[in-house]
Amino acid sequence: MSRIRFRYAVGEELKFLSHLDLTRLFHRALRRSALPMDYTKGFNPHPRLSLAAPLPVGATAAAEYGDIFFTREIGPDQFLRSVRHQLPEGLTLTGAACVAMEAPSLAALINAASYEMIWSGAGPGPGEETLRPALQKMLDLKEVIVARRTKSGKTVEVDIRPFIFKATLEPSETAVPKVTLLLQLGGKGGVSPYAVLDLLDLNEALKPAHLWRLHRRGLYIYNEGKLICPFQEGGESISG
Amino acid sequence: MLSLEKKLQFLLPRVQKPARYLGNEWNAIKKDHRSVQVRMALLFPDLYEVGMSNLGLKILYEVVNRRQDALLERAFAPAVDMEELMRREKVPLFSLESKVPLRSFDLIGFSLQYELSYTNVLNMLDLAGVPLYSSQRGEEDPLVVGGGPCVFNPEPLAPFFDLFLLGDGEEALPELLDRWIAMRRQNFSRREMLAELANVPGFYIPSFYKPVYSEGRFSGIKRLYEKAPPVVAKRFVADLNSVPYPVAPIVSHIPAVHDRAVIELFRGCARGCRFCQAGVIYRPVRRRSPENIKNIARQTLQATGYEEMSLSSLSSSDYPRVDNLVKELEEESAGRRVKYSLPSLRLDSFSVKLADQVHQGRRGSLTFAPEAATARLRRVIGKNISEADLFCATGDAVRAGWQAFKLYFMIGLPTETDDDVKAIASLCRKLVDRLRQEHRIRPRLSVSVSTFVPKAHTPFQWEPQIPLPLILKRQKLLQESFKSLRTVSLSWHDAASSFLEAVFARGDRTLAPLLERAWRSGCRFDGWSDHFSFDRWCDAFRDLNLRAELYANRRFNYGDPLPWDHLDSGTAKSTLIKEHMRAMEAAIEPEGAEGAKSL
Repeated sequence: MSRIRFRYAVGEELKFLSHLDLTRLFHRALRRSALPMDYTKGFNPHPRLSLAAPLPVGATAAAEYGDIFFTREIGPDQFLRSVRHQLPEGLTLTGAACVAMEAPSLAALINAASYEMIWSGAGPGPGEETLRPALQKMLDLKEVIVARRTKSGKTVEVDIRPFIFKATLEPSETAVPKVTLLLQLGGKGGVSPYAVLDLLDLNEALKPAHLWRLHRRGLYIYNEGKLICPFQEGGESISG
Repeated sequence: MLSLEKKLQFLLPRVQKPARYLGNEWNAIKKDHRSVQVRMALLFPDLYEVGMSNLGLKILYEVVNRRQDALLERAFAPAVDMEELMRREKVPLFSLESKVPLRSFDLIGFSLQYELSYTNVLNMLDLAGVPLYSSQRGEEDPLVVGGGPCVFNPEPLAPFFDLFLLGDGEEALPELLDRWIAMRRQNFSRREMLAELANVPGFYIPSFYKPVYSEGRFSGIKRLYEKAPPVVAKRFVADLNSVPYPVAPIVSHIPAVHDRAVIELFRGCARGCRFCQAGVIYRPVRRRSPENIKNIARQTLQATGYEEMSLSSLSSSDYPRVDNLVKELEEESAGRRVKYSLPSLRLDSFSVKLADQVHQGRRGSLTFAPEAATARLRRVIGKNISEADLFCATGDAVRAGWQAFKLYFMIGLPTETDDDVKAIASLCRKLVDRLRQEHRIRPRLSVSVSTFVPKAHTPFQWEPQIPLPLILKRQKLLQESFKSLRTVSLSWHDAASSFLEAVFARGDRTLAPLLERAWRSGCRFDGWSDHFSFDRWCDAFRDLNLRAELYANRRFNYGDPLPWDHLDSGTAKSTLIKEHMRAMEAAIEPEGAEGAKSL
């Protein structure tokens, strides 16, 4: 038995796939690679393959993570060599590491994601003079209460302000700077970058999601102000 | 001007399932358009998920793309939300592989599987910017070709197509491309090309034939070009083992309706159910050899990574020694977690054993198609199974662990009476009671009832569909008779859409303007209950002063000229007449002979 943690990038070609589609795609790629995947027991066995933190549909990503279990010893190099050429355009493996069998799952570890949003609307878009005060205004808020529906169908009020760790601007190739966000996600609550965009004090015409290109730069374990790469947690030898 | 691909980037985030329009799937083939001599687009007039399940599409994709001098790219009907955006943003219909407008292809092929997708055909031509009517197309426009089961009566679509290809495409399509390349080299005009193609077996050029009507009724077909054959015979591949098979089919990003690998065990069917069009047009029965099947299975699983493989055909338990074949396939893929499935199982003990073999502990529901509930009516349609077969097969299945069954029936079959309809519920009750008493289980039974649609080239082609009010009445009768059968879930097909299907299945060219009118008034995806609007269709009929009943509910006489008489399915009209007569004799045969007729 062995467990591999892998890192991958999602390009423009595949950014519209859902989490489930992407999981199925990896599953079939692994079947083509003929590596000995481990399956759950029972009448309807599933491969023990999980991708961390669903990527918003429409977003590209630089460093996503997944965990997979094998029935035999499979090393990171062998994994990368076997699976790389089984992936369609738009999906690239950028690294792999051995993980202890009993180490916590990615879902239990990853609690933060960084995003960038790039203006891609037809018009000139909001310049720095518009965006900077809008971001500041949002960060100055003490709380942001939103209504959310729980799995059982109840509506609860949640303060999403604590889930916004950082919101900054970076220069881009156009007059509209990139908006970069560090947000909480996972079991303890989270907020989507589109929801943050919606919070900004901007002209409503600038807010529709399709006017912004969303890119997830990375997934992290965020602990006391420090960002830890999921490879470092329980990861041993890293190949890439 | 933004490039098409760039424009798509703005469109896709706003539609429901953008993955339908991405292309770039595993095993998709993208060639340089300048590297080939002929470029063809294959259009499927339904959603991506439906079209990607179609075996014919996979086969043609392979047959063309394996050639160095040709390419074939796909397009599907955009969902209504996507269509709206495309029209607003002036994005023409494009191919998934190269994202180029379909207008720029040399040939456009439509896969015609279902009458209720005809408005989508017009819509796709329009979205592609290709003139709707063959007569309006110029030298620069692509040649519009149709194939698939519907071309055995393509008359309602005739003016929109330049060419129909009758029968199997594995040899006929490459031949079309060869000829196209040669003719293009010699600078043939469009008209010269069609004239040349008219002589090729299986190629039907509708513009060379003109229907004649007397007193508003179809009375025969006149040839406008003396070299066009009086009757066009279908093409068929003599040996399936000698033609290419798609062993590396495209693995769609989002699940297709049938999200699995497919092996066609054989083409055709030896059963001869009298309502079944597939049973006639895919004749004769041609089998793939077990060796070929095993090779295909091995290569397909390797190339796709699929976890399931369907052993497909019109009646899979009829493949000789199919149990042995399944066993060998399972042995070969042992340890690789491949599930096999067998659609279209016969109603007998052998088939249950077979299902038990492939399902290995997984117990979903088992599907059988008795089609009719009385022995008399089953004799009429040529479905030679008995009640005893049904009880025996379900009993075996229960012993093997199944508790859920799906049964398919039809209403509106020729000679049907109200009693035949009520018998569906009685039969189900008998079955439930029996399984309860003999096997001490409460079976879950779901019953699906469709309405008979008479199809061209079948022994029932002369028969009318029962009138729409009678369909509704019998569906009501059905519901009432099932009321006391609470444990059985009953579903039935929409009556109006079956009626419309019957209109087009036996219609003639007078329906072409109607199709255009209905499409212009907004009809699309008529096979989908959430889009189908019968009111719009009724308006279109009224506007054009046509009566739908004259198409769906007309009884033809043996001597009447039929709109598809100039198309030869390979089965002679005299044979169909004989079969039809036999059906009518069976309708009045005394009861009691059933046991002897079971298989």
